[in-house]
Amino acid sequence: MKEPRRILVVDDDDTFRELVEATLGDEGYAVDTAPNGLAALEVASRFRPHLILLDLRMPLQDGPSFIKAYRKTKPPRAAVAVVSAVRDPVIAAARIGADAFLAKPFDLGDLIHLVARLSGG
Amino acid sequence: MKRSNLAIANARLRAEIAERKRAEALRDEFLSVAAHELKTPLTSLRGFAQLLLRQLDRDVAPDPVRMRQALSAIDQQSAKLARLVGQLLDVSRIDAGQLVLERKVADVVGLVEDVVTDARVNTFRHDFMVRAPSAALALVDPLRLEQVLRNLVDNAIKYSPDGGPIELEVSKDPGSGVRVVVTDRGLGVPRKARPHIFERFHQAHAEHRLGGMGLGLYISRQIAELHAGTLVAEFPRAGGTRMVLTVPVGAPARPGRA
Repeated sequence: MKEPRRILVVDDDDTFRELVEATLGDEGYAVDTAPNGLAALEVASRFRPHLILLDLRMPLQDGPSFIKAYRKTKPPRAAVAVVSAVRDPVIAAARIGADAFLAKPFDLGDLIHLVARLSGG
Repeated sequence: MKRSNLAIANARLRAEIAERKRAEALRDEFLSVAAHELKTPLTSLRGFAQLLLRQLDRDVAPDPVRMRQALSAIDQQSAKLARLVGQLLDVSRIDAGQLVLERKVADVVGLVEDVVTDARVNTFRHDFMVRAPSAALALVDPLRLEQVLRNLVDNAIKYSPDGGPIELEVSKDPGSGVRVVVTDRGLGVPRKARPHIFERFHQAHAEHRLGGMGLGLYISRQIAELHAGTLVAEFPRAGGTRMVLTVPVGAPARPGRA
């Protein structure tokens, strides 16, 4: 059997993490989560995700600082999709060089589609 | 006009323009923060509703654990959304001078205990200690006063993210009425932000991204003042924040008389 693709969800909202974990779990992905960028760096080094779903506004270490630090870690590195409720997610995602963006609130179908496309599964 | 008068007029105009620009920037930032805050519960509401629908559309029996998780998230997130919308409406009522109190004799100690009971359910990391006489009657709007107490307790929880003790003390003071003091040992408020914490849209810890629209304390102080009471913040040397709410007892407080 093929090993499931690994998705890391980085968001400070507990309910949101639960939602994505449940949705992608149902779709057969292995999911791990972190409530901020600092914790995400630690999880990423152990979990070796194929895709990171990244919120921008978080306590301790926000999305942009996380991505800067993550790019300095040892490859292979995951694709990063910004999933955020900020006013201009397209601009924000482009500014930090993310691979894709999804604006909150979204359709679960769009999330599943985006994850399938970017996780290389 | 004399040259010196002209210079003064110019300086005034410049100050006025700067002040307007500051207000506009604050408003713009507020709209951006408010939209973000409203979209956050909305995302989980919509997501969990869709997750349930997807389960029902599959041919297998829905998982009761998953259903409970989804419905309880929908319940909590809709309550959160209602609170945020309520705050926005309160600000617009305050601006229009239409926030009106419905006073009756109520027991402030009972209100404090209700708020603490609810708060205990929502956090396991904070220890609540209540010191209060058996009752403290005052002529207040109990729903509005409870809103203030809830805001103070929510702030105490939010701004002590590592947990810790939260103390509530109710006392009857013949001079100033009923006093409620809420003390936490959390992040406190940076010295620079202290003069502004009761201004609307202000968030003392914006950099911590702890959520909220920066309206809670503004609304709470307005409610305290409508009661002819006060709400002030103190910053103990040992850290944390101490919020002191005082409301006058009002008319001779006798149960059953409004």
